[in-house]
Amino acid sequence: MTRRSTRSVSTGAALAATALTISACSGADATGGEADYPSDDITLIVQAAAGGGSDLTSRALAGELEPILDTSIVVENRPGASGSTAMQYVADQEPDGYTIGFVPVEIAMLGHQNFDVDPADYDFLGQIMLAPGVLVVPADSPYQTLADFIEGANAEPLSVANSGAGSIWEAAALGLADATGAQVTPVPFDGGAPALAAAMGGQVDAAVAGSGEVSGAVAEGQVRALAIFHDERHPDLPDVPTAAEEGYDLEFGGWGGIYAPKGLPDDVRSTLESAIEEAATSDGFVETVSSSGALPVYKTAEEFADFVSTEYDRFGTILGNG
Amino acid sequence: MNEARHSQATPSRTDGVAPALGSSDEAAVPAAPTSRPLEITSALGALVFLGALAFLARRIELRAETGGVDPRWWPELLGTVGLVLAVALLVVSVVRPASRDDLEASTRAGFVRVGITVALTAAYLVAWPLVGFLAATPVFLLALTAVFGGRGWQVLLGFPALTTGFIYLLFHTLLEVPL
Amino acid sequence: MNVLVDGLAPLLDPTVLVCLLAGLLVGTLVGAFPGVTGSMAVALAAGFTLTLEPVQGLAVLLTIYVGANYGDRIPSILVNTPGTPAAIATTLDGYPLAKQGKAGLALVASSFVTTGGILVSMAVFLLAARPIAQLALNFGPAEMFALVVFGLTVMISISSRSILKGVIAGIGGLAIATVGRDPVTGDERFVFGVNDLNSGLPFIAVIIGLFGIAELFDQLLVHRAHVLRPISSLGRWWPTRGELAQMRKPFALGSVIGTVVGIVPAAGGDIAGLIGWDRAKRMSKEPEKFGKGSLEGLAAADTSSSATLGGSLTTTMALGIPGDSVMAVMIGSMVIWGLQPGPSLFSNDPELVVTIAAIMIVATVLSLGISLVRMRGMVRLLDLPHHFLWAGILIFCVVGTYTTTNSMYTVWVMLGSGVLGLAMKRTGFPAGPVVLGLLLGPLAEANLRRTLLIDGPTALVTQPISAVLLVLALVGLATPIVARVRASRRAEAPSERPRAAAGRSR
Repeated sequence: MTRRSTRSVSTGAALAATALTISACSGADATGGEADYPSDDITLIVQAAAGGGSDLTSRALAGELEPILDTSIVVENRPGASGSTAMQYVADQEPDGYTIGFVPVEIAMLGHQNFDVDPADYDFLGQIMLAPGVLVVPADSPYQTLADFIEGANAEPLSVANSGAGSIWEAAALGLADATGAQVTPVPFDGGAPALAAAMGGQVDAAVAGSGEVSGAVAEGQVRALAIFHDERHPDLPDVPTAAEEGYDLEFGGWGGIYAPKGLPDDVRSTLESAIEEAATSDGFVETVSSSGALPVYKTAEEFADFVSTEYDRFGTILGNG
Repeated sequence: MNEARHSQATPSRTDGVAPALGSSDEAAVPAAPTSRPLEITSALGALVFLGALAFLARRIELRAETGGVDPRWWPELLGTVGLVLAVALLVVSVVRPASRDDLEASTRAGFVRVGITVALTAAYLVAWPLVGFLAATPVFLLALTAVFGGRGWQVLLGFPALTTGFIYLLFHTLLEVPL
Repeated sequence: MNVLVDGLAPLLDPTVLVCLLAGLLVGTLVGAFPGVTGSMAVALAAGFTLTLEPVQGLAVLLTIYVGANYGDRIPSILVNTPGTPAAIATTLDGYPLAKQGKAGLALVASSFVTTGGILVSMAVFLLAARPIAQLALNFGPAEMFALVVFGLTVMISISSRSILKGVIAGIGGLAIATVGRDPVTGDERFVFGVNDLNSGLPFIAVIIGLFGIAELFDQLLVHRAHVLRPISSLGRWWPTRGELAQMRKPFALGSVIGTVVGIVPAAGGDIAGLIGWDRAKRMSKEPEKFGKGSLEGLAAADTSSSATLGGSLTTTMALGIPGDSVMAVMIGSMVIWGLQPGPSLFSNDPELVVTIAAIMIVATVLSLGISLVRMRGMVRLLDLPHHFLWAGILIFCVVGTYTTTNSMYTVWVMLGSGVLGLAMKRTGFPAGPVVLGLLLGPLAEANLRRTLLIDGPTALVTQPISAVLLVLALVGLATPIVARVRASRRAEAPSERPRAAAGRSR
């Protein structure tokens, strides 16, 4: 047990939280010119409720950003409608650098699912994390490898649990079927944990879930991981081969980054970009993200924007809107 | 239907500790009268709602037509069953409108009070995002307290200020929920 | 024995004690605030506790969990507003008791059965967590569907005056639960282009509207200046020996139901409370008092919704699957501390399991003490002049609802539900079935369709748990209707038309 090793993880987060309390009360000084940005509190919008993975990551990053930017970051949860509530809210704010947000992979998917969300409405400031998808089967499943599984799914349709209709893990199951010709029936559950539980209980033939969600159950032997949809093995799952190693070059991940409404002034933008790079690669943040089972993958603003647009096109194909 | 009234009245009498209060209001509060028009209206309301459900359920657009148990199936089932029951309720409401002896009769002043309260709350919900929590809340509370019969400056100013402060401290400061 | 000593030792640390008290304070405070749920408080606190030692952090989070479970009963009993969804069933008998001037008695009885329920379920956690948690894995979509259908039969019991109006209200609740994205295909249903509707109507806003705001509006409507209200601090506090004996059976029943429902993932105190209340009513000698201020009803509802705490904890710690939404947050924090809940927690780190259980038990006992001490003050609040009371209830409901999503839309839903709730109350449509439909509808539909996707329709009857529950549901549906029809036939003249008898119900 490594119980005590990670406890210094986000000292910054709590210190910052205290600072935040104090400054939030006083914080109504005039919104200064861009020259001395930031001169006021920055609001970080999170698309999920407090307590989830996105919230945790955002709060950890906010804790690291505060000393760098020398201002308070107020984390505001605006959950609802698969995250689109928060995305539309961010798009509608002034592009002055005082409203930024945590952007999840869904930004590349919702537009293909009848939501009014378009990546073109945002400035992307950097990717900060990635939770690769893992294909798991019940412990007593006959399938030992990804190839076994696909062979089985060629003979008869196999049910694959995921965290919800329209979720990244449903898209991953569909993408797997697309790429291999296997017959896969995605079964959406209400969140990642129930989907994983269905695989543990043997109610479904398999499940796709994020690395953080499955690593405990894999270590316990409650489920068996067949492959991870990433370009390299995961440190928490060293024995699980990548899909590419098994002969299928497929990558699916629940990534997250920071975005802002489109049209930030250049100096604000570069201030934020370099602050986010520093925060996202800081020891404290890296340790928090790693201990939650995700990967602290950083991409610069430019790389991230390209990546989002590639993902947007790819999900357009997978989700059938071309 | 008398049963309901009895079981409510009896325990407060046998309680023994609060006989004065427990029994004083029994005679004073008139029960809401049975009303056939009201019953018919409410049954019609249910009929319209469930009819709309049954109708709109058929028009749900699907990206992939699979047939069988699809997204339309469950709302359609609910709409159909509900419609049948609503028709039954309509018949009952005409033939024998239900008694309302478990409710106290409303007063004219009461309707005005509810109307003003809803209007004030709506105005508050509009004003909050515009002028901020700390500005909108004391005014809202002051207006409410006045409408509900509070008089005197300590009451009208002290209570809104204290309540606003308490809520602000609890949420904004202690729990860090932005208000 | 060593495990026991090592597990209990951390509790002697004074900082842990401070954490316990802080958690209790926050828990009871936010639990009593309508709209602010235990999971929200735990989630917000989790931001601070990450920096603490694991035992200190667990002390804060677990005591908030326990404390909120006491706090949420207070507004349920005093002002008919469930502090959290887990206290929905408490309103059914708690508020009528308060209206009869027995608020003190209701609060004391509620605190005791809540304590008992948690302690019984914690005993199960300590003695048999691992084997019992395996039960949770047997609950696949087919079993969940059957459990939910069983839960829906409660609709009949909580339709106190007219079964017909109750069932229509229930269908209304099931119908509004379909608003939003389809759970399986993601197609839009009744969204009408409004983005907020994509995730459906916010559940907490609707219950606060239908229960709390509607009751407030009703008081505004019928208030007469010269009539004194019986709700006040006057009244007996301590249950008599007879009342204690009366509560024994519902307590036993509630403990079992609560623990089992708690173990099932995704089913929590809200569902358990309603099922417990319904079962107790069916087994009671005085079912006609249920919903009108029955101590048995209050005892059953509070025992079963509280006993889910130990059940949830069992599933969470022994399987690594969150037993409810609070536990989902808890797992997130534990993982960051380097603790992985799951079967090996019990073999590798038994002291920690003992510590967790000890924290829960100490928190429960302290909560009982606190709630008994502050009870008098709480009931006093009802003696406030009504201009303070009404304005206070309204602003607390508005702010509590707002904080669930930080969006005005949610508060508008609450206000709309309040107006609708008033109309329903005045026309005899009960609010309970609407909430039940809203709560269970999505679970029923989604699990049925998952079952069909995985195995086809046969799974519902071939899986033993699901088959038994479905048969129970059928029996549950048939008996009260038959009994009512029979009773009303007997009561009324033989010439009565049967249709009217069925519709009127008693």
